[in-house]
Formats: sequence, structure tokens, C-alpha cells
Amino acid sequence: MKDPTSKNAGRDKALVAPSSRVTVVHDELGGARRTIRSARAAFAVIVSFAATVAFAIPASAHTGEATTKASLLVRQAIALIVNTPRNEMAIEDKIKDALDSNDTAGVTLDLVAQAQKTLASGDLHATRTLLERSIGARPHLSPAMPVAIGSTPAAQPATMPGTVIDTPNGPMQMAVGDQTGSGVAEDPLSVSTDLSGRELGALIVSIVAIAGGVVLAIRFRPPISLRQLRARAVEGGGVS
Amino acid sequence: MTFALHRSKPATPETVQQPRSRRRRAVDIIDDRLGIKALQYPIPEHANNLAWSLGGVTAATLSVLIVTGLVLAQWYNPVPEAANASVRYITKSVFLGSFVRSLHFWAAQAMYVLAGLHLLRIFITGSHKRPREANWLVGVAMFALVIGAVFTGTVLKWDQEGFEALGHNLEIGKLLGGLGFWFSPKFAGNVSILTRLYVAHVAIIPGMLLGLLAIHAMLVKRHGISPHPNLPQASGEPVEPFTHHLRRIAAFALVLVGILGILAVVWPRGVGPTPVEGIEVTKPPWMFWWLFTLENWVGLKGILWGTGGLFALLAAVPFVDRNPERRWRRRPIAMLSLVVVIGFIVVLTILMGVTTPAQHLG
Repeated sequence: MKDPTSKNAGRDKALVAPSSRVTVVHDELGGARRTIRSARAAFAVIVSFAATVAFAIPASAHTGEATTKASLLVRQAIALIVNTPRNEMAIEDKIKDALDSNDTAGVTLDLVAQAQKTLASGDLHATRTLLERSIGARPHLSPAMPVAIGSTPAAQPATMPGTVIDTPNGPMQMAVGDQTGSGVAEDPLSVSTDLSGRELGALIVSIVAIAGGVVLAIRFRPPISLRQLRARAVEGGGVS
Repeated sequence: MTFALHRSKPATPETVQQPRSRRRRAVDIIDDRLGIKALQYPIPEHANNLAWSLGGVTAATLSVLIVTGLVLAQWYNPVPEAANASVRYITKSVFLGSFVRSLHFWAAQAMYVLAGLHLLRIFITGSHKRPREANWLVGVAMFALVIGAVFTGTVLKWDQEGFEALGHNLEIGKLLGGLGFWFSPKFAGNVSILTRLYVAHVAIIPGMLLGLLAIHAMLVKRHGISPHPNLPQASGEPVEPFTHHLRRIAAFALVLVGILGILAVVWPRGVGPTPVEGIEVTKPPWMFWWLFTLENWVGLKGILWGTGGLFALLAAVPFVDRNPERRWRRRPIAMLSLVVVIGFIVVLTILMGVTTPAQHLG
């Protein structure tokens, strides 16, 4: 079988006729020059990419200012309770920001104020329930029951064509762009590791697959191992 | 270079006169129509080593992802209002839905790891060297697509973690200026970016992957399996038909699928809370942790520079590492560079593992 790399194999000077050693040295110098040119080319590519991106970077890597809408702050507080219930300081900050907000549309501030008190007493469940009620959402009962608020928290007005759909409850603005489309954070869903009949069947099939694969891999293994091939090569004196 | 063909029997009058078996007749019939015997071309025996079969096993993992992905797509709803709920529905209410979804997840992890190991093997054995530079670049592009698939896949479940991943991507799109236009939510203002990422995850990325895979395979066929660096050219290494390589890959893949199945049963995947914008409380998938350590140090641009730097290095490899020597012991600079890069990524990954998520967005 022809080895396409044979022409690129490292040259052994001992096998090269003396009259060709000048050519060999010249070739090696040429190879070194090619390496330097290639390194320069690679460096130039990297610098060009960096320059292109550098000119595109705006003055700040951060987005715009934090929201001041009370409804979003309340939703964020709920999400913090769901995601990081031990981070009471962050939850408290969000509730406080919501109470101090200039834009309190759609939020019952009395309930938010009550939530602030229940948070101080350490009752996260009551805090979450009060916050959910404050924005008109059904309180969480179980992860299976999605909560809905009075209107989708769309940041954009319903002006984009094809993004408003008719529902039995009236027109509804679909989420577009980077909008979440969701209202209040739901609890995470954990999957039980108790084995039902289906999972047990899948487990058995998986174990059988492993066993079968191992048997076949052994059956189909090369008759001569790499170690034996190398030993042969050493015995044959072919190792360079 | 001398080769010996294994398992070939010398022709004798008896063997010539024996009727062909049904199996052999079936193969002949199919070969007449599809030319499958062309797959029996000889390849060096070392190609059947596990380390040299990693590319094939990675391709087998892609098959698992495609099959499980097709199943999941029947019940997944790629609009923000329903995405998370549809994932919950798949997990709780679809027959074997939790198992299929978990299998998809673990196969994605395996594909990332196997692709990385395959890349490492190629580099360590110098198989990226002339004349295989183009195939190395194709492989690097495929690796980038694998990472893109992992990213888009984590966004699709549309929980807090997926939404925060999207948020980072959108901000990086802004950093890229004009180059990041596709990642802008305003690019197609009438469609949620979730839907566009869904299209990328199920069509664009797999399509490009399969196209590059075809080129990758053709280039391997064109150049042949690279010689083993520890076997001299004139070692007289035996050859085997490529079909033997395929069946060995199939055996390895069967073991892998079994392992993934066990993982899917023992560690099934749940779903995080529905997302709320403006907070950053989760960590990304583990393969992105090193980038987020950079973000903690220098801000969002750390993710861009880290990713760009890594892939610039990978792309530069065949042009910088041009020494024809392929044995790793005789390539100290290349091996040292490898250790430094991997060590850097590992250390940053561990640092993220012990760090609390910080607010960088908004």
C-alpha cells in the first residue's frame, strides 16, 4: 500500500549520499524558513482577527441600566427564591428595589411590603406566595401548575406584525427577540431515580449492550497487537 | 512497504468449486447495486486500536444524538411561552421520555469528550502534519460545531440556566459588532431567538456537521490512515479491510451506548425553573466553566478572547508545527504547549467549580 506520507518522512542523513548533503542542508534551511514564514502568517491571522473584533467592541461590555420596573423586580425576587433560596440578601434587595420603584404598574405594593416582613422572619414560602399574588399570579402549588399573570411581561409593544395571536381570552402578544415568554419562575423539576419497569428494562438493555460490545470488541480485535508490531520492528532492525 | 493480507486463503480447486454461502450471495447482490465491496479497501492494522477509532466512535455518538433528537423534537415546543413546559411534559408524560432526554444529554457530553480526545490523539501522534493539514482544519471546524450544538441545546430547555447562557451569547454578539448580527434579538424581530436557536440546533449545525463529516471521511480515504509514529515505515505492518475497522467501531459504540443508557437511568436529567430576565444565579454546563472564570477576571470579553484564542491556536497548529517528526517524545515544544493549554483550561474549570456565580449581565 502506498504511503502518501513517505515523501515527507524525516530524512536520515546516513542514507544520503555525501554529494547530496549540501542539498539536504539547503532543504533543512528552507524548511526552517518555511516554518518561520508560517509562524508569521499564523501570527498575522491572529492579530487581524483581534483587530477586527477590537474595533467592534463598544465602550462597555455590560448592557444597559438595571430595570426599575417593580413587576420585573418582583419576578426577579421570586426567581431568586426559587434558584438561590439561601441568598436572602439578594432577595431582600430586589424586594426593596420594587418598593422604591417609580414604575409600580401591575404590582400590589402592600403585598410586597408584607413579603418583606415575612422574608425578615425567614418564611420563604409565604414570601414567595405574597410576591406572586402581588403581580396577579396564581400562587405556586406544585411544579405541574403553571402560573400566569394578567398579561405577558412583554418589554415591546404589540407592533410587530404576526406576533399577536387571538385567544379565547383576547389577543395575546407572543414573545419575540430575547423575551422570556414566561411569567413567574416555576420550581425546578427533579426526576426520581426510583426505577420503574421501563427504566429497569432500559437498564437491563444497556447492560446487555455493554456486554455484547465488549465481546465483539474482543472478537474483532486485531490479531497482532501494537506491542507485538513494535517488537517485530525492533527485531527486524527497522526502528529508527 | 510490504503488507500481508490477513485471512486470505490460497485458491484451490476445492475452494473454487464450493457453492457460495447465502450470506456471500447476498453481499454480491447488494454489491452489484451499491458497490459496498469498495469499503473493503486495505488499511493498516493499527487503525483498529481504540485510540485510532475515536473518530468513528464520535460519529456513532452523533448518530445517537440524531435519533434521540428526532424523538424529542416530536414533543418539544420551540416558543418561549411553552418550551420549558414541553420539556417537563417530555420528562413526565411521554413514554420513556425521561430516558430518551437523559440519553440525549449524556450522549452530548460523550460527544464533546470523544471529539476532544480524538483531537488530542491526532495532535499527539502528529497525524495533522503534511499532507493532512486541511483535514485537521475540517476537524477543528467540526469541534466548534459540537460546542455550538451543546450551547444551543442547553438554551432550548429554556430554564434559568439556559436563558442566562443565551444572555451571555447575546452580549458577546454585541461585542462582535457587525460579526454578531445573527445573535442579535433584533435580527429577526418578529421571531423569538429561541426559535432561531432551535433551527440552528436541529438543522443548521447538524447539517454542517454532516457535510464536514463527509469531507473529513473523504480526506481520510484520500490520504489513508496516518502511519503509527512508533512503527517504522518498513515494519511490514499487516493490513485489514476497512470493513473490519467499521465493525470494531460498532463494537466500541455498542459499549458506549450501554454506558450512556446506564447514565441516563441512574442520573436522569431534570429541568430548571422557568427563566426570569435580569438575574444571574446559575452556572453554565461544565465544558464552558473555564470561559466563565475568564469572565470573572476580565468581564464578558474574557469569553470572547478565550474562545477565539483557543480556536486560533487550534487552527494555527498545522502551520506552526511543521517539523516532520511525529513521535511525541521528540516533539518537546509541541507537547509542552499542549500541557500548558490543557492545564490552563483544567485549572480555570476547577476554579469555576468552586466559585459562586456572579452578576455580569445587565
